[in-house]
Amino acid sequence: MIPRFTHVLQLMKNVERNLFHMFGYHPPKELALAYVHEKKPVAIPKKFSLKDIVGDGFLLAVPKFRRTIEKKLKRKFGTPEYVWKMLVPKNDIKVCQTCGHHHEKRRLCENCYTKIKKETEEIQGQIKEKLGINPIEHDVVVLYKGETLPDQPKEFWKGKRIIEMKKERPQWFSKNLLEKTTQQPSKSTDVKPTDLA
Amino acid sequence: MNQADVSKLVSKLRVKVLPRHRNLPGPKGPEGRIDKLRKTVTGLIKFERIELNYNRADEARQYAERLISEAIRHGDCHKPTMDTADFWLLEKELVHKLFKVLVPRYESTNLSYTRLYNAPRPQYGRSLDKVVLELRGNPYPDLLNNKSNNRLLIQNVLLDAAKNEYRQTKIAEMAKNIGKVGATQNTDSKINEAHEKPNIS
Amino acid sequence: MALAIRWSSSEVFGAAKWFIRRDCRALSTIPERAEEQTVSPKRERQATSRVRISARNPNLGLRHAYPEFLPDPNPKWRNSLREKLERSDMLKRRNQIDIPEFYVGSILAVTIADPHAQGKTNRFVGICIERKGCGLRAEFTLRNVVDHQGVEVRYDLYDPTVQSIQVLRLEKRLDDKLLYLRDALPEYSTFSFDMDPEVLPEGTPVPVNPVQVKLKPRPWLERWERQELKGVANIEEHLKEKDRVRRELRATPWEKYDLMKQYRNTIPIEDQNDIWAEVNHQLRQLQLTRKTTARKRTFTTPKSQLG
Repeated sequence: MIPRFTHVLQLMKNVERNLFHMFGYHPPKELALAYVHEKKPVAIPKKFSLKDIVGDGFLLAVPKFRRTIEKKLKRKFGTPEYVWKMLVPKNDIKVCQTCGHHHEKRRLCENCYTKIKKETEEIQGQIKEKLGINPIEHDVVVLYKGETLPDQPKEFWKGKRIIEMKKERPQWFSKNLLEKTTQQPSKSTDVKPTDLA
Repeated sequence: MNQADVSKLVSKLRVKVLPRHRNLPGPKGPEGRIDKLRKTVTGLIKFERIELNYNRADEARQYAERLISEAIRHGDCHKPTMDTADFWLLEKELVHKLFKVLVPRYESTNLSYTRLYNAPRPQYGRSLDKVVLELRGNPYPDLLNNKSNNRLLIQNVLLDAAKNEYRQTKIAEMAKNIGKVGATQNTDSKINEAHEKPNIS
Repeated sequence: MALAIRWSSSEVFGAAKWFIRRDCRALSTIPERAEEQTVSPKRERQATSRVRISARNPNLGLRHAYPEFLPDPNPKWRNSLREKLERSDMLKRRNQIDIPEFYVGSILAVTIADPHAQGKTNRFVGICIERKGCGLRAEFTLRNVVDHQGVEVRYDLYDPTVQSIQVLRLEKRLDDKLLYLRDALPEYSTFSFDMDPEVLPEGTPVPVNPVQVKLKPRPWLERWERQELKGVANIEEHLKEKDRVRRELRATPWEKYDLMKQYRNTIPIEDQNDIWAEVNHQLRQLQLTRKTTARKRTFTTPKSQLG
């Protein structure tokens, strides 16, 4: 009820004001604001050019903040515990007693190992071929070309799986180093020069 | 604090055992770990020498040692041990090998049943460390060819020759001193020294 | 009542003596028995390996009756000197009071010194539902239902306030831990405080009680359905289909074959042999003295009864 009443009141007020305005009852001229009209200068659009920014030289991306000394050192040298970028001498290199190649301490010699690995794989292949799918019940004896079973009582060899390799025993794979090697003594007659040093 | 499990008896392993097992990461979790180890143990018993990553090799080594020690302790007439062997060896002909070949081979040994060598690693590689895992007493060529005690090693031959030479010079010196008429106490002691030296070397 | 107790204790000691004579073979679990049966004569003949010889030590049977003498299998907590000192302290305590042989599932009566109780002592009777800890920290938990209220008391085995431990019924149950009695019907863990000690005739092995308890409806304290319990009868009727599916998902059947997990939970035979060689003599001596004192007591009882 009350909002409707105030609305009607407002409407009456508006009508009254408009009527006065129509018949020339204005507020006094002294209260009007003073206003001076001025013409705006017309801005001439300038063409964009890169030269304004670059000037004489090139503009590159530059670091915004200083990099701390710790970060700089870490980037340069790394951390000894994780990634150490300095060149450090390796003190754990040994000479192989068998072949004379260098290898890391507590690791196998690469030269010997590749040789042994190849031979091992060959023997493994032979064993697999010989065995087929029968159950494995006996140990393996590897015999190379031209070799016979070592002298043991016959019962010892009974049932053992004898794997025969179709080549001669490699010189380095010898069970007894006092045995004669399979390498033939050289027959070359070249005389080596002496008293060189 | 835990109490030790007394329902089972196990024999002590001759290899180092870490306080906790290693996880072998994979999508299948613990079951996948055991599956991987089963494959490795089967391969080890089958080929007797395999090359693989260190972590897996070290874990599989412990399981293989346990399997062999159980087989030695209980023999092939013990049902639980047979079940365990059946679980761990995926190829069933290897169960025969375990009880008929490996048990007699290791029955009286005092050493571990397996050996672990570090394989050479490539100089500029970032691959994981490889190792060679093998059963002792395999038919393959020996990986460690340690000949330092061999008399025919060139260093030993040279050392022997040097010793011999030293001995010869000392004996010659002694002979000279004996020939002299006025041998003093001092030279006597020298002779004694010379006598002792060869014995030591 | 007193007469009965004394007589029974002597019987218990007699039984203990019998076990010792039989190298505690009777105490061993089922697989070991099977092992003994299955060993063929051929294998026996060629049993020359160190592994088998060390496993034949008769002292190893002591591990069932005295599990707390074995150290913690976790190498993190191992310390050989501390373990040795603890063992000597345990033997000293065993010289002071009689700590009988008991297992999870046995019914015990424990008297402790209690300054606030009438007569300064407190006696509690209950079924042993758990044994854990090793060394001087060995402990066991007794459970009973008093006035319709479940009561559990945890005692330290080597606590100096413990005045006496008496075994009222020596038996084992089907499981290693009886924690499921908390969710079982109360009659399964109700024992009267004036229960008479039961006597095992000399020469019988520790009987295994095959009773299967009935669980109350859910909620439970633990997911008993996933623990493969043998001593629970009606677990399936409380389960929904969802629980069965989850049980299948969570099952770990490979753990039975995890050889290294077993190894890490046990003390190897070679280590055990050293420990039992150290304490074996004193334990046997204790058993002998206990037996003689028990005999004396039985001899003097009639006098005290008449007086």
